[in-house]
Amino acid sequence: MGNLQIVTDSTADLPEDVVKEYGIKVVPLSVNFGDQQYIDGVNLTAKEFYEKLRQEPKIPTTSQPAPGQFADVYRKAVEAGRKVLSIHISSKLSGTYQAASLAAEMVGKEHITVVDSVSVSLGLGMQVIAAAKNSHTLETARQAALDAKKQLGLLFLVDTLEYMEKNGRIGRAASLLGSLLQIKPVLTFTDGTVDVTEKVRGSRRAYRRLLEIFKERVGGTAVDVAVVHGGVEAEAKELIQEVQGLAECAQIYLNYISPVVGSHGGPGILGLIWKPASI
Amino acid sequence: MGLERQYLTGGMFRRMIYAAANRLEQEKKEIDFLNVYPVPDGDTGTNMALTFMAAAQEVGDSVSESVGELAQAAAKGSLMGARGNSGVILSQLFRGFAEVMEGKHTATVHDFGKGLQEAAAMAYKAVMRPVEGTMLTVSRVAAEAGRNLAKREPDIIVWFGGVLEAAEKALAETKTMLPALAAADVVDAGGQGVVTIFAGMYSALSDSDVPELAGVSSGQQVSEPVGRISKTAIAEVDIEFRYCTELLVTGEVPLEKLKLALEPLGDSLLVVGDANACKIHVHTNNPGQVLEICGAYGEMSGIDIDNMAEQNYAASMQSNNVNNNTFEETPQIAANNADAEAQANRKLGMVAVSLGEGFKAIFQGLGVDVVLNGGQTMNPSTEELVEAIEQVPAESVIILPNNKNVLFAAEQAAQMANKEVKVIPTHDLTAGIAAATVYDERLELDLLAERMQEAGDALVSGAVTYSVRNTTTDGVRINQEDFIGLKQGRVVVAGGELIETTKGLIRKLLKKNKVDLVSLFYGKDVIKAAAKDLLQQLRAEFPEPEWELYEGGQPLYYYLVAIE
Repeated sequence: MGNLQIVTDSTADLPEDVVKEYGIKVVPLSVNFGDQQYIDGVNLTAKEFYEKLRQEPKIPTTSQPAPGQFADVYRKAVEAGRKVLSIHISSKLSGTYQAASLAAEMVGKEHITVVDSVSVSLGLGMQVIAAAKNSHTLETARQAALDAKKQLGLLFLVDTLEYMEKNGRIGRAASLLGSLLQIKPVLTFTDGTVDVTEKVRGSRRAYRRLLEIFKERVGGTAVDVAVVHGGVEAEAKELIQEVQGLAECAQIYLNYISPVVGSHGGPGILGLIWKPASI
Repeated sequence: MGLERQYLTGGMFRRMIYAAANRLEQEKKEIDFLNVYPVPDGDTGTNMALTFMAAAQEVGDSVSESVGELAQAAAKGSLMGARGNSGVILSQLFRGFAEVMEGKHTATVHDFGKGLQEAAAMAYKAVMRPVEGTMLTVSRVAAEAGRNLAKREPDIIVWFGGVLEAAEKALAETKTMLPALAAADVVDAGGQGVVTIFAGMYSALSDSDVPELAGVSSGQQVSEPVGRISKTAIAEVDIEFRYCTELLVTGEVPLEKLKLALEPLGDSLLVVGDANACKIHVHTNNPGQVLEICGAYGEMSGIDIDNMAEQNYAASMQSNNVNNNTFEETPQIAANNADAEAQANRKLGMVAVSLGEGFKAIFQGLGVDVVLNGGQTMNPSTEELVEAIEQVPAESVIILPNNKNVLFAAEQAAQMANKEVKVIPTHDLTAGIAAATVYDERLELDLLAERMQEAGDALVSGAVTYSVRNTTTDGVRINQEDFIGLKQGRVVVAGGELIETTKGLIRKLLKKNKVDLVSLFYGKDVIKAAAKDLLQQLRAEFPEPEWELYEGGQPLYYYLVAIE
């Protein structure tokens, strides 16, 4: 651990070992089932959450960390004489970035750089990993995160648009709500909000199309790949196998989608994220 | 022979067009009846009559006495009013003819013959894969005869009689040229249309009576000229035989014998069928006697007796209300106008031709701006398509014809509209749905069109309907009123039971192919509960693919199936 502290939030879906290896600080968001509040990854594991999500009649709500939580983390790092690079979930999906920015102002802007990843899950996580791998200075780390952001690929499928709609995170996929036909969109993020890459009918065809788009976009580049899911581990593992057959995969990450993001995507959500292995 | 009989004048040409339009209008039902495909979609006669009427009305609007200018008017009218493939071919015949007549005040038999030849050439060019034994053959053979005959016969009336004779002969031969026609024992419907036109024209030349233009029986297509023509030119159609009588007779019917027995009772007699059943169509003043005779040969069904005097009255009433009808039938256009301003800057929009409330709603849900009613039974005209394109509040428009009979008109509309238009050649409604699903207005037009076409092509379509006659098609033996299952437009199963025929079709569709998704669209004659029940049975039999069921609301087809 050098002079730089990397900070992110629990929506990055970083695997435990990655967090440990790079000494990354992860600030949790929270999920509310009715009056019951759970802290992401602290008193509610992802596995428990998805089981609960399928049973609960009401869709849970989520909340960003309090600015004070960020301030605590920042202050400790600054007091230890280190600079902070804090990278977060898209500001269009969550108030987390805003809370972090507020905390940075409170603690001292000259020490803390807050970045909007305009992404989520390991799309955010990949940027954090790139920064952590290049954390000799704030500048190198920030540049690496920016490179990863620019060359990031992210595609995902949902079982139903209902969760995104009810929680107001449906973005440009809203255009599909009027359709009488069941459409399974291959989704992505554009400018920090949900966007439709392609409209497909039938979940199996959507899955196949996701793989085709992945192959087209990756071309011959060696990539780090992440597969994330909402409680469908077997499907996620199968996806990893398929992806390995299509591209040269240097690093492979597999994780649950955090309960906070899962609350918006619904159970059964499946995501594929990649960046060039060179970053 | 007087000199005047060596020249076709504008006045003569005008009368020929009127007479042909009237003749086609009177005989369109008989021509419809000739459609051989065992699907109840016979509309060749209706399409040709509407198209020709549009040409005649344009001629009626012109005050010119020049053959060249009147031919030009007919070409323009038919191009705007072209409906269905036969209508578009007809418009091309007019176009070729008009090119030769350009600048000519009168015409000799040489000019006329050259005009007919260019007309046929233009029609052949317009069809991607010309098939012999169709209206193309009839017009070509007649033109060739006309060119040869012109070398020795300068009298235009005698000469035209020879052209008509050649056309009739060519028509009779169509039966031997297409296996489908031979199997059903009929001549080609479009070819019959051409002969009807020539016969009408010939009557105008040979009779001294001046024919006038009668009304049309479909208000949809014709715009304002109707009012003007009806004032000056609607003729009382003299009906000799009042009742149009149609029925089916099941049993071993000796066709020739029955024909002979019915012939004295009226005209426009058609007896079509095979060893197991036949269909009868006749205009008569004594329908009771027709039934009596037919009843002696077998079991009767589908009896339909129409008073044609009433039909004609209704038709002329409808013509006068034409503009109102046009607006009522396309409320979506008006609705779209309301927010047209808000959408004025859109780059791209869509027009789809569709049948059934369910399909209409699905297309609208997929972002189609204007859904035109039409398809198997009533093809929208080029003009209606042009109007729909203009109504879309966007710079570029994609058209989904969703029926192979609309494709041609859509392509013509695309050329005529003042917008950038792409036609995606979707052959049926399910292909149209597949294409509309991948619609994405962010894409560049060419790329999008390519993707939409790929999506439409990638799908295998099935349809369940019923047969209107006994026949053998694509090697499948079909009894009249059987349910039949079509794969990509070809009959693959037939049977007396709807559910079993549908299942049989789906078994064929799912054979060998690796299928991910099967979508069923149930038609207007199927109740939802029955469709759901069928879906459950199919799901149990084929657990592998995903299954989806939608209300299509389409007429004629009990089920449309999309295999992806």
